[in-house]
Amino acid sequence: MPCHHFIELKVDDYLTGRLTPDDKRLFDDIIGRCPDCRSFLEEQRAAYDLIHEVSRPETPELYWSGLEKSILARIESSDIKTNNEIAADDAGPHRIWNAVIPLAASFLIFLVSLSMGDKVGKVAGSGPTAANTVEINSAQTSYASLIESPEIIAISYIAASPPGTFGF
Amino acid sequence: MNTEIEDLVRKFVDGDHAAFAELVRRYEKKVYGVAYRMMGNHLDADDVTQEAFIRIYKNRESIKTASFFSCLLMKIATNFAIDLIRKKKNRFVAIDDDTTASQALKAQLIDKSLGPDESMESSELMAHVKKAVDMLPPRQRTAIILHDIEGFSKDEIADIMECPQATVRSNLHIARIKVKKWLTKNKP
Repeated sequence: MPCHHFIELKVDDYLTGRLTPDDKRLFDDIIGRCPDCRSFLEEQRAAYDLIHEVSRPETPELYWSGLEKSILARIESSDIKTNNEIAADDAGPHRIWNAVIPLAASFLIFLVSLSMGDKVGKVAGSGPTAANTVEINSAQTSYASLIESPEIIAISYIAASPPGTFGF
Repeated sequence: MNTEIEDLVRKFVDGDHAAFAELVRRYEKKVYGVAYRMMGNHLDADDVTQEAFIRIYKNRESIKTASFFSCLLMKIATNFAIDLIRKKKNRFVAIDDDTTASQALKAQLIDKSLGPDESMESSELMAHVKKAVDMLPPRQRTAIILHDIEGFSKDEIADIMECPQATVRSNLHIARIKVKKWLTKNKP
């Protein structure tokens, strides 16, 4: 390994006194005989010594107790959950509703369309007679009444509402 | 890492509120110190410190060991600080800006060389060095604050900054050269 690679690799540990005795010996040896490595070390050390001396910000003791209270109050007052708790909530009953409601709505629509198709089929097959006109009217009435039923209105409302409106 | 801290971290992970309060008391000064040096003002440092503790509370189930706790806490704090710095980019001025260097400070810099044997007696001079550190890009600043001021090892910094140790090393070396150049250039 060229000497400057070793110096670059170890200079931070040298400055902070973390070098092993063997590395320290080798480091000092290189610095003693290589002017470029010495120049690099001096530049690094000059900046390190200045930066290292920058003192900690002075903060009144009162601030720390206030900071602690503030952090603990934020945790107690707001509903802070761990990431695992959030994941558990996502996997809870809400997720079941998310799957069940569209499924139920699709099933109802399927039933209604099936019933309508049956009526229409009968009408198409036999032509417009007085008897099946009554049948069509009654089918339309029952479809309309189904569409206007509170359950369908509720399902449509829920399905159309933005996510989170009902807690899921 | 002493056993007392390990015990506190274990209790905190299990949901012990008092243990968390104690950990806040033990680590707040270190987190605040780093945050203050990175942000350069009390309000932002306070914000970063609070957010770091709130976020580690949320992530407590991922904490395995006490050393991981301090590393994660610092990681959260420095990442949040870097985000804030980037949001406030317009606060930074060019590295050759010399407008705030007072005449007295300039005189001090003439008298005092930047050699390793010089002691830092003047708070004004310290403020000048701090300004030079503030000029650094966020990641170089983070590396230099954690290593040269707070005394973290390169290994710990690599964990905190989520990068290879070689990157930490190059950030440190480049940052020191920039600080030295800035201070030399700003000598009258």
